[in-house]
Amino acid sequence: MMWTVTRKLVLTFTVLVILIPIIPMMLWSVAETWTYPSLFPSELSFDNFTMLFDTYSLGKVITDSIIVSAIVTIVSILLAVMPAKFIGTQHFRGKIFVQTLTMMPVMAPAIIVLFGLMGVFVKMGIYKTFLSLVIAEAVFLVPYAIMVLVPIFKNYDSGIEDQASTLGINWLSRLLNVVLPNLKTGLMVSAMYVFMSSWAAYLAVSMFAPRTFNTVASLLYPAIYNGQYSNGMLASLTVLFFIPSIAFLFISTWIIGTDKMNNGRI
Amino acid sequence: MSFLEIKGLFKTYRGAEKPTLQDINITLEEGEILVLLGPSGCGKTTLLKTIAGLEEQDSGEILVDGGSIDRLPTEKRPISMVFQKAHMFKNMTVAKNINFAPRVRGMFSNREEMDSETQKYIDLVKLTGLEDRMATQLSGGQEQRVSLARALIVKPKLLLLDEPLSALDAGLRIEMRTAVRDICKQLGQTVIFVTHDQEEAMAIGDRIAVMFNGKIEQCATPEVFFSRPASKKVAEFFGWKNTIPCNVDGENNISSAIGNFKMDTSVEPGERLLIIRPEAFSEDENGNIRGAVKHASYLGVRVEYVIDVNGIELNISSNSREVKRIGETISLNVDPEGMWIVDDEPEEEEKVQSVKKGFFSRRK
Amino acid sequence: MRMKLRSVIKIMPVLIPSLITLTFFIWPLCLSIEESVHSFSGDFVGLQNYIDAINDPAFVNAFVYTLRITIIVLIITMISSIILAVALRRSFIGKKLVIFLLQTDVAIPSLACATMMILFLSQSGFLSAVLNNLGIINRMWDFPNIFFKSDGVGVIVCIVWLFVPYITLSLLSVLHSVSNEQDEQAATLGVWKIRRFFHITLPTLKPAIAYSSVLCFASVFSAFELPSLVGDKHSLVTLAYYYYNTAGFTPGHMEAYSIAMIVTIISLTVSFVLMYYSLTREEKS
Repeated sequence: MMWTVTRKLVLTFTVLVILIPIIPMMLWSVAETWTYPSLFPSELSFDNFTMLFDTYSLGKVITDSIIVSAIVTIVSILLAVMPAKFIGTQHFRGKIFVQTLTMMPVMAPAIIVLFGLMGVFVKMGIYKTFLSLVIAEAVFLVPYAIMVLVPIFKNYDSGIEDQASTLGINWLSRLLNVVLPNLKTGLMVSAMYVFMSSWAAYLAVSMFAPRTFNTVASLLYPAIYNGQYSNGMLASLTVLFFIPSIAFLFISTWIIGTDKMNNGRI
Repeated sequence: MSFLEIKGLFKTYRGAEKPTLQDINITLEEGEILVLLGPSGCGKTTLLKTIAGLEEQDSGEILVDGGSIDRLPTEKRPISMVFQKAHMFKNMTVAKNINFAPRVRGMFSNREEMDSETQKYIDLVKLTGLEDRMATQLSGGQEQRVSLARALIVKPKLLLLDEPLSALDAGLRIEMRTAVRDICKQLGQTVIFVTHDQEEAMAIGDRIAVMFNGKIEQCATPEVFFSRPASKKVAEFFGWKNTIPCNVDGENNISSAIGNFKMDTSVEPGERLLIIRPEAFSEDENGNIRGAVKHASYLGVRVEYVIDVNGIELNISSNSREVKRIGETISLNVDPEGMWIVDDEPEEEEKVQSVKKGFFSRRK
Repeated sequence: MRMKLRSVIKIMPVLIPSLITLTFFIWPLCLSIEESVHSFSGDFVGLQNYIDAINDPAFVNAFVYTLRITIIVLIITMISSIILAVALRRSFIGKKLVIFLLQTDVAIPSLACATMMILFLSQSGFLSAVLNNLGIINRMWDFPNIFFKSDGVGVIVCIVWLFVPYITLSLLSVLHSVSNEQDEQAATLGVWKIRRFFHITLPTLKPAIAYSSVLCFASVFSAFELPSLVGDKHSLVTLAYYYYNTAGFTPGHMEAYSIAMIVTIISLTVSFVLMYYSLTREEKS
């Protein structure tokens, strides 16, 4: 009895702690005026959003953010699939060592690599270009994608590839018609996590993006740091910032279900 | 020259203490069904995968229809394979699963040919009406039928079946094994079928190759195993339960603790083992084998006894309706057709294949 | 020989993508290491930059600050996550909703969390307004100020809020994949719940706890955004970034590299060891 009550209290507390902080931010984003100590804005409107779009060409910023995150996601997943499949399905000497080594870029502080990447990009002549930004993000997101994909491949039955090869099907047909369809769901979830990580990246953008190129994250960070925005504009920019993440979550939960989303560590 | 020839095949997995395949030699004629039979771990699946090209042999040669296939990758070999687990292409219907391989290989000249061939094989495996059902909606038996049709439609020179029925329940297995044999015979398909089930082997195979520890102990037609098993291991595998030390003289006289017999055998004189099938015994008041009942199990259509004859335990399967009590004396005769002589073999210590630990793994 | 060559050829297309990324990881790392052992004028100075960093009071403060926050966050996060994961293990009405809420939290990026917490927990924030309306505080200044202070409470609160759901979901997936039978067996033998937790549930979670602790440690120790936005003092990484950007063309600029290098060595060493242990245990089980 005592345990049931304790459990209920813990869970109720958790729900409140997660939900409640979100509410003021959502309200601020549509607040025209809201003074302390009112618990609710006195006037509501979408003026904060309108001002953001007008003042900061937010349409272009959001488009640029989507483009860079989409490209980084595609590149990262494409580069990560084969190593992840190898690590997830094969047994070989030193496998755990290789797997741990592959994950090191995720564990290392980005800052040290980003410092060095500046020198590398200057030598390559691509410093402060779109390419340098994509590479800078991919350096960390490819290992992250591998980390996310390995558990999916551990559950993948590679016997279906053997079956296909015994029917005389070549490797390309096997990849397109057998492997990828089987991994569709796992790839989607992994792509979602990689996209969200790229979307939220600030340091790489601030160091390597071309001068006229901004992402929502690169606008939001100085906005919070410098305190240059009103609470309303800050809140509305933040809402725009995390809407794609929440949207992805809804879409993937709808497609694959809550239980399967949580299956396997990501 | 035979249709399939396997010569001197050897394979040892890295880190294993013993070879998985030792000097395998097999010949198979076109249209014949050969069953590879043996306990788990004897190497039969490895042999099949080596023929398919999914594993590589250390030495030896495999020829199909006169041509060596050793250097060919799996997808280029004139074989197809059905696995124990029916790997359905989940995103396809039954029809698409079946015609997927010939379609991507360009084996059909037009749409009509593809449709008619697909329908032919669907009808052959008795899945008519399920053409448009998704592969995820099939039962176990239906999946294996699709698997079989899929393997046959590419018209392989050699069809390999790796325990395709072992995941099915008992009733379905019996139904499917008849279906598999009938279909293959109807098409004149050359087949190698792997199983660990002796009854299944007898029902399906034209010939059976019995494997133990990577070696083929005996390869013969099914009835031979019930009359002339080549070794003690083979005999025990085929239900020869009684092994009695005996002496064979040069004139076909056999003397043992349970009695003396005369048998037409070509073995060398000396100490051997007399093996007798449990069904070879029959109750007879005037029988020349007498013993005391130690254990009796009434199984409805027959009674199984364990009896003690001069210190030797014999397993008897009697179709008498009357059950003897424990301690009672029973008299028996034995049918000479159910007796055979084999050599005594020392018990081989079963060593589990051990794989060397990886360099960084903790050693126990 | 032919077999070995074929094995190598088979592996290459698989490992090449990893090698490309590792190149862009190791090459800059080497460049940074090279910078860290040279003076601003390009002379080789060995470990002088590191000695300067360690002797820099700002570095020592940042190190203590970062370590303290990391350890506090690690302890609070892991204990909370374990409790929550165990609480969520059984079926109950609303379980899917709670899990969905945790996943929503995971989807919220750290920058958004910073804004959210500032608007909720600052002295002029929503919680302060609620307490004011309830009469618990009279003025907004009576509400404790947790942001932009040297104790880092604001940073801790934000990071814990972000990490607990993520690690809870990770531990929960392990609990779900393991049968409850051992626990039930122990219960029928009269073993108390708390003992069952320590002797059965917790050992099951050990590899997952190690794995999650590594991620948590590595992320917090090398965190940049949250400490710089809601903290007052410099964490190690923000200090390195500050020196990199503001030291300009002065010798202090080189300290940026050595500080960043020290963070990297600590982070990578701890991460590698714990991650290796965790993956080995997972492979064995």
